[in-house]
Amino acid sequence: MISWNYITNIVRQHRLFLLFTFIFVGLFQVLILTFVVGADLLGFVEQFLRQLPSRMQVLFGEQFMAQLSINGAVAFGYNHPLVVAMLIIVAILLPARHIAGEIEAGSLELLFAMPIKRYRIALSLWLVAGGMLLVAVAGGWTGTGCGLLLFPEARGAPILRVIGVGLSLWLLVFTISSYTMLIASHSNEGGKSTLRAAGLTLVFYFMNVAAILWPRVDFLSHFTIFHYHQPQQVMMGEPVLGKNAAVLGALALVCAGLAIRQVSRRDVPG
Amino acid sequence: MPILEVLELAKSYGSVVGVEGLTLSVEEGEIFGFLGPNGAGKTTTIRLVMSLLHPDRGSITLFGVPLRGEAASVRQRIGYLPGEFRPYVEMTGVHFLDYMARFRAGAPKLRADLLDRLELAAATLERPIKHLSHGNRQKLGIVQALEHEPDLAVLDEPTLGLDPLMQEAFYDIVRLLRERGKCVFLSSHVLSEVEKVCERVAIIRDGSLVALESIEALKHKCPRRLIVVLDATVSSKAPLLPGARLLAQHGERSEYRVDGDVRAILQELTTCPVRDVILPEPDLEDVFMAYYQDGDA
Repeated sequence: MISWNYITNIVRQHRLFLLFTFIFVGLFQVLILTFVVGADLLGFVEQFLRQLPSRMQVLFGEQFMAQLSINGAVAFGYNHPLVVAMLIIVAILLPARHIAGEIEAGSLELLFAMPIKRYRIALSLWLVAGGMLLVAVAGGWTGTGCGLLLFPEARGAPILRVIGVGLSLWLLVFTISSYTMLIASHSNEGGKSTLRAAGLTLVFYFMNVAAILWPRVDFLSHFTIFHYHQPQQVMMGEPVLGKNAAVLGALALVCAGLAIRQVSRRDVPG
Repeated sequence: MPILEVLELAKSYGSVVGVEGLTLSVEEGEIFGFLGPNGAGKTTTIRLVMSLLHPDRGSITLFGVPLRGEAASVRQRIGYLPGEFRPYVEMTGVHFLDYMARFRAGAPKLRADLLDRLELAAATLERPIKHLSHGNRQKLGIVQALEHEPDLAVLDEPTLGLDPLMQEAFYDIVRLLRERGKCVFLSSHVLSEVEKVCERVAIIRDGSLVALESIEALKHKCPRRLIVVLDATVSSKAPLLPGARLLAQHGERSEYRVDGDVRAILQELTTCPVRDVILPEPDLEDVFMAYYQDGDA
């Protein structure tokens, strides 16, 4: 079904970037825990939040207050824009580069002339992207684990929820990777695919922000993938992970299925 | 049984015709030349044969198996060199060859011999492809296409970027494949190389086939040049010759185009004050130009 030769080659090409992402995400989790455990920030943040306009308080207030607990800090580490952005870069670049980018560069032509079915290449790419994103998220788990070991005060954090919140982040970025693959499968240029996927992701992000800020448009939240990554709720023990995983997982599967079909059927221009 | 059979193949890109109604077949052990200038439809045909493009109409049969969908198993027996060979430039040469070879069953049994013939040294192969010259990249492309000794090699402009010595080495490789009973489908616009190694050629123009014959038969059909050198002491007027058209006259030297049998002309010449008659052997370039200048031969 898959091609280990292809998978090995992809991992080999990106191993340094993957290692960097693993360390970056891991260190970030340690840093977040250090920040929360090492300082009494509650009063300061409360004062600060009171200065903000009411809409901004809605956007940041609850999250910030929750994050000042250990559980909140752990959740925040898996929802921080830097971490999410880093993983989104990996999620978008891999399929955009290895489908549309390789069509543009001409190397996919050589690969498709080999005695291997195209769907095996596409399926392998989807799986290796998922695997690499999981490794990056595992960097977060490793960082959280190290933080919990370093700070005895933090040891109360429930491990299963930490794993759950990481899985939630993984599903979010894997979904992004899947729709990027669908976009790339219809394109002949890596740069354009990257921009389109990044643009769509930004639209989803702003839809989510709009839905939080303005109750009138909160129905939008159901149509944005970011709504289905709720690390705070997962860390607080709310049973949202199953539903969110079902939505994101289904979306990822549909996008990947359509992308694999398109890769198998499309013309490869010279 | 033909190794490759193409029947009424058609492919368009919007309003632009790639190929139209193309029919040809390539027999076992044959070196088949596919001629045409840039944009004639050679590469489109090759990409259709390699299933990189899907035809609008028509059919392709490879090794007796109708090509439907991808036919990945058939590609096990095919070696392919694209017209613009663009490998993974970050890889080293040897890594690239190993990577491509692992997609195939069996060892790349011709690799050492090909590397030797094309003078690709081990040190060159250890360098990243992005640091290799265009010629060395092309050699790498030839090696990846042929190292598994394919039953059919589909080569699009294979000598592009090779120096004359390496071109000769490549022709030797093609002859070696023929000796081993392999089939080569060679697309080119370099007429001399097709003439050197191919037995049959197809000429394509604006996506349609205009000729498909052995090189000898094509040459025979081709209009020939006839140069008559008159004895100026007797007459300097170019004689009228049956079946020949006077193209130019420079002093005692007259140049004709002959479209048919030369025997009647030669007989007529015996009655003329002729000092010399030159009837050059037509080369493939003459054939090609005839098809392209006149519309048809």
